[in-house]
Amino acid sequence: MCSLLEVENLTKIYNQDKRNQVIAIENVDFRVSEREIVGLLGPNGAGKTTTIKCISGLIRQDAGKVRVNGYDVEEDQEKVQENIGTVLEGNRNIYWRLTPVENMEFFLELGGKLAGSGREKIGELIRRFDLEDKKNTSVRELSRGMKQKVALGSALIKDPKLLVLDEPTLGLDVEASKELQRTLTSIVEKEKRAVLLSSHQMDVVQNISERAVILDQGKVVVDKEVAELLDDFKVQGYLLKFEKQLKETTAEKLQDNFEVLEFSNGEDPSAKIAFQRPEGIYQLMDFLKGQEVIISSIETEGQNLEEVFLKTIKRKEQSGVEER
Amino acid sequence: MKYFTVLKAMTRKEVIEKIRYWPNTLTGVVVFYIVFLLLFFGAKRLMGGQPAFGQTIEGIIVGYLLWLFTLQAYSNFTNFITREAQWGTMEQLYMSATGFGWVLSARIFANFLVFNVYMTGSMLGLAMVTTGRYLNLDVFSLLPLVILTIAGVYGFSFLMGGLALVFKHISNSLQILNFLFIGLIAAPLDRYPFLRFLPLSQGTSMINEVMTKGASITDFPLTDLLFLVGNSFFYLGLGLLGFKLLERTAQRRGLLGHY
Repeated sequence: MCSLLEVENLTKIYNQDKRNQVIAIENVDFRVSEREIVGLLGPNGAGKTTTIKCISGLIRQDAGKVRVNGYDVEEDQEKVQENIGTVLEGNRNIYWRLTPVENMEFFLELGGKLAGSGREKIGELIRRFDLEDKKNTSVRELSRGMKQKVALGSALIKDPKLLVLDEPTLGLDVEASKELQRTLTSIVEKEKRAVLLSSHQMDVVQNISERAVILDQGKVVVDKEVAELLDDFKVQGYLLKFEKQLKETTAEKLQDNFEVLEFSNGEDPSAKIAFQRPEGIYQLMDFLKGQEVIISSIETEGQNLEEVFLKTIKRKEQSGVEER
Repeated sequence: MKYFTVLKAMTRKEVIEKIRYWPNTLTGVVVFYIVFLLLFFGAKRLMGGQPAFGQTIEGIIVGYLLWLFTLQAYSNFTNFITREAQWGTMEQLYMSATGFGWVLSARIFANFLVFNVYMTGSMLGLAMVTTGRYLNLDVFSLLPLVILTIAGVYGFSFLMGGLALVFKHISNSLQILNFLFIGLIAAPLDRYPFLRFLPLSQGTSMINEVMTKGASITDFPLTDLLFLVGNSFFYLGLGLLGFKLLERTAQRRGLLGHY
């Protein structure tokens, strides 16, 4: 499969000549191939938006290369823009004073194509995003989810090979978010496009991405297939519910000696505990028995991307990455 | 082709917004007409009895129209950049197929065209009806002179636009520039010929000659016309250069779209 996006050793340093220098991203390296959805993950300030803006040509990098469908962002900006559609965080990528159709026509022409030539495509996008009833209503009167659809439609109208989306499901309700995810999957599968998706919503990335690139403190800490990543961190997880609240010392010991993912010692005391090896459960039982804790129920739990993400970041911190 | 489609997109959007938000458009015309009335009747009250006032009326109309041109040229343009940044659409414009420089030029064209149709046109008509003085509207002479005169002002527009990209809040500088331009429009070139080296003054003086004295563009010495061309292109070039440098700074610092 050919790479639609190649990011090589991308580095961006803000306030380079000043004392308050900030290394936003450093030697970021990854690729996105045709028909692939890649999730770009990272905690706040990890460098996701800087990476996306460098890819879209909105921020000038200090070092490294970005190529979109083979075109260099620094050298072939216009060609890059023909091949990329970007929806940045928030839903103000479009004109609220114009209607969905007018927005799509505007962005089609801004992309260098006559509005007339794209009538069919506009109609198709309006239908796909279920905007037929609202196609002639000012965007300001639409719901957040609909605005996001219009923004996505306006990015898709110029037929980009690569779609770059920064937090596309932020603020959307569950149904709207699911619908958007279905749309993205279908776009990639049917139309040979690729999507780079940045999101804090791990379930979204887990549902639709084949691969995840995790950034932390400006560096790529993981670049793997989501399935492989989940497998790497595959642990046996248990959700234990207790009859009554744990003593303070017991609670402390539990958290010190076991990998406690979640812990609640309130009205319904419970702990979600992960084990790298299944036999770890016996040690836990011995410990709880010794502490005279009565267990009311035990449930096994699978691993999700959010837990993998948190562990990755935690592992990175523990491995003593140099301070930035 | 893509340069044409961007031009079309910007013009169409401008027309749609002006029509859809017609109360706002109409309010603009009314406000500027009231300003003209205050100016005209204020001048009439101050020097209405003097025999020279009759010649001053034409000067007031021409000066006012040129001020309107100038105002829309630099202030509207800077407001455009600020507003797009606030709306969050600036970055989308930046990602056009033609590059941001052409998008801005297209916006200038669209604004010049639409503003002149609804604002300058109606203001000229209203001013002439109010004062009873009908000016010489020799389009063949006026259009190139107006375009050349305003081209220099657009240099300032680009510069202020660049400053808005980097520093965001520049409204105070705009006010200062506003007064400076009023001064340049009214500059007495016959008494202080060196003022022609500044933007606007030379062009304003020539437009005045056409509209009030019935002169034609062919009546001006070639040196004057060449001077106007050189002057306008100098300031336009300077502004574009400044804009490019500031745009690079904004891109380097990641300020595009921030507000």
